[in-house]
Amino acid sequence: MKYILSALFAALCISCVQPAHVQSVTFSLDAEGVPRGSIVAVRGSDRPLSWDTDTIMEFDSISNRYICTVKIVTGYKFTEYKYVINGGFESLAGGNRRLSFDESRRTIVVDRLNRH
Amino acid sequence: MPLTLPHWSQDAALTLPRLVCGYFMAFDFGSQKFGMPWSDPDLNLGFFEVAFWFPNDVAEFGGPFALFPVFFAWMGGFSEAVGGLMLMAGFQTRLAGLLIFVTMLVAAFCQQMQNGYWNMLPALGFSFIAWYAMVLGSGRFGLDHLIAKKMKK
Repeated sequence: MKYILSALFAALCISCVQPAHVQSVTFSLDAEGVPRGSIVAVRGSDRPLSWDTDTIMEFDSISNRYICTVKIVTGYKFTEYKYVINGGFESLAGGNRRLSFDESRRTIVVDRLNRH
Repeated sequence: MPLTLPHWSQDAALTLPRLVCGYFMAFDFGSQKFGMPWSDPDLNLGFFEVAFWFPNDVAEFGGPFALFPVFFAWMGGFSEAVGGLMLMAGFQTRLAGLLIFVTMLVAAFCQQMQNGYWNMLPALGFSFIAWYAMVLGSGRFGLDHLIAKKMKK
């Protein structure tokens, strides 16, 4: 038993917590198919995103896209998200959208509504 | 020395839930928050590393958990991932049972209770399985039984 407890203590000392990094993610959604005057937002699994509250996206008339940038603190290589139009989730086959973070820790995703 | 029941089929009947509990702990719940060789590579978990978010969740339980969140998070992850593996194999079954029992009680009463009794059921279910494993040991079907037999000779 004492060997098991010693091994446990040693493992605790040398491993510990996964390092987390700030990942800057820019979501860019094509405005095509989005009704004019809609409130467009993104929700996701990692803070500051959440599945319960909207993170509002701004409309850029030059590029005709809805855009927002968030800083996610995570140790994972990916995050999941979905766009929300006027409080309702986009209808996407196959569940949530998933993005892999760029190694530079600055990721830009360019999406179209209701399409993977 | 694990306790053995009068007939082997009784030990087999108790082995099944132990295997299921150990499998879910080691290969699903545990490996999502504690780095094991079979953890999803996208989770980016190093070997025996606890997920970055888990100590923050544990700290929210308050009391001693807020004072030593990393320790309790690591122990929780270890109990699920490694304890689950030990429970499956029937190796140091009582110790594995104790680790999982305590972890599941914390999950049930500190994390899930605020969401209603219904949400406590999964953690309590696992704690009940860990409870009898803690009392009986592995029975006939586990490494503990083989080791005990060999040491007796």
